[in-house]
Amino acid sequence: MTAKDWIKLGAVTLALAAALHFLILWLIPLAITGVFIRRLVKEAGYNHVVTRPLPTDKSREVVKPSPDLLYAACSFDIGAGPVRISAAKPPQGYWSLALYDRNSDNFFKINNSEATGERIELILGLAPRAGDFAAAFPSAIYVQAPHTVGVMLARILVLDRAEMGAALAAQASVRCDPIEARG
Amino acid sequence: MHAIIRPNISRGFSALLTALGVLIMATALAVASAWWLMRHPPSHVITSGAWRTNSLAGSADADLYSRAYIAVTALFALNRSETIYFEAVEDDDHEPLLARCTYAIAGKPIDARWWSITAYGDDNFLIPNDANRFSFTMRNLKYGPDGAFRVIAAPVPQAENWLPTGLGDGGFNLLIRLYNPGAAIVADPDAARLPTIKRVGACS
Repeated sequence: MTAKDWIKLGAVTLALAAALHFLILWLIPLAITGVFIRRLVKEAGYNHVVTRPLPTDKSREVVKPSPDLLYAACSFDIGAGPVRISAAKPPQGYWSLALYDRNSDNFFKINNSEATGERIELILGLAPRAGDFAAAFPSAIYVQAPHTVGVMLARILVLDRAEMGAALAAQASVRCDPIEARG
Repeated sequence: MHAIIRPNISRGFSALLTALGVLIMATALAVASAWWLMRHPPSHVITSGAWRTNSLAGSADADLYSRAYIAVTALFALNRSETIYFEAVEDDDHEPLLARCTYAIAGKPIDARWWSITAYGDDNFLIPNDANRFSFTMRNLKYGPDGAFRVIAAPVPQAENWLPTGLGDGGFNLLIRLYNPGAAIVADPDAARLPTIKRVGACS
């Protein structure tokens, strides 16, 4: 090969490396979130909440779990229509609901300082249709998701074992329910 | 006939080998550069002493490097308005945190609705220990008369505020979670006045 051929080969290698570099980075969060979504779906199906006890060293589902938080999660799929996410607020302490896109972006969150009322209701849909649900769910917040599939994660803080009963009740109250069929 | 085919086969095989070599080299370069830049993202990392945070954690504005790093090390992080996560993988002297050594993590309460300090193993999971102690929160820490705290991260039990690092020979890392941090910290995470991390005593 001539020197010109080697230069051409080097340029092709670098161009291909650059393309693969960005592809790998783009795929990592999608792949890791995808594994979590598939695991939840295998356990409970789409739009069904899965709960866990306080994380310990045996908890291996998600890296860096907080040992002070009770988690409740569902893999949502709004392809067939919006999903209603609801939960009762615990009487005290920290509590939040967070929604994640399929690439792990946190596109919505609400905590118990921001939420009014004893229950929080979210209607999660793909299209901007807040008006369609105002009558049926007057206290609900309409959230537009960027993609069909993602993850809802509820966090309930347990700072003290005496709070465990209330925290478990709050965890058990978290629901993901489809509210209409595709039509 | 043979004289015509043989050079063609030879040239085809040579081209295939070259293409394979290019693909292998490009993949190796891509993986290595992605891994390095993910660990050392070009921007949005804020350091405060031994602690560092990515200001775009959980955000839809996160760049490819930040998003990939958060997915690998702290999947489902909340965005900065809700929670700021500070990670330490080394002490104040820039030495890596080792499970067999003892560290004093000393500071004052941090301005947040609630905060905690948690120890994780090299694998980013909670560290097995007989005391089942994985973290301290603002509520269960024992404070000194001046309102300051001192957590001792060590492999063996300590008199108070003992955060087990496990009996392994590897490293560990620390994570401070600030839930609903004060407005000054949201604006400038360095304003959090995070605890110092000093190695104390000999390593086992």
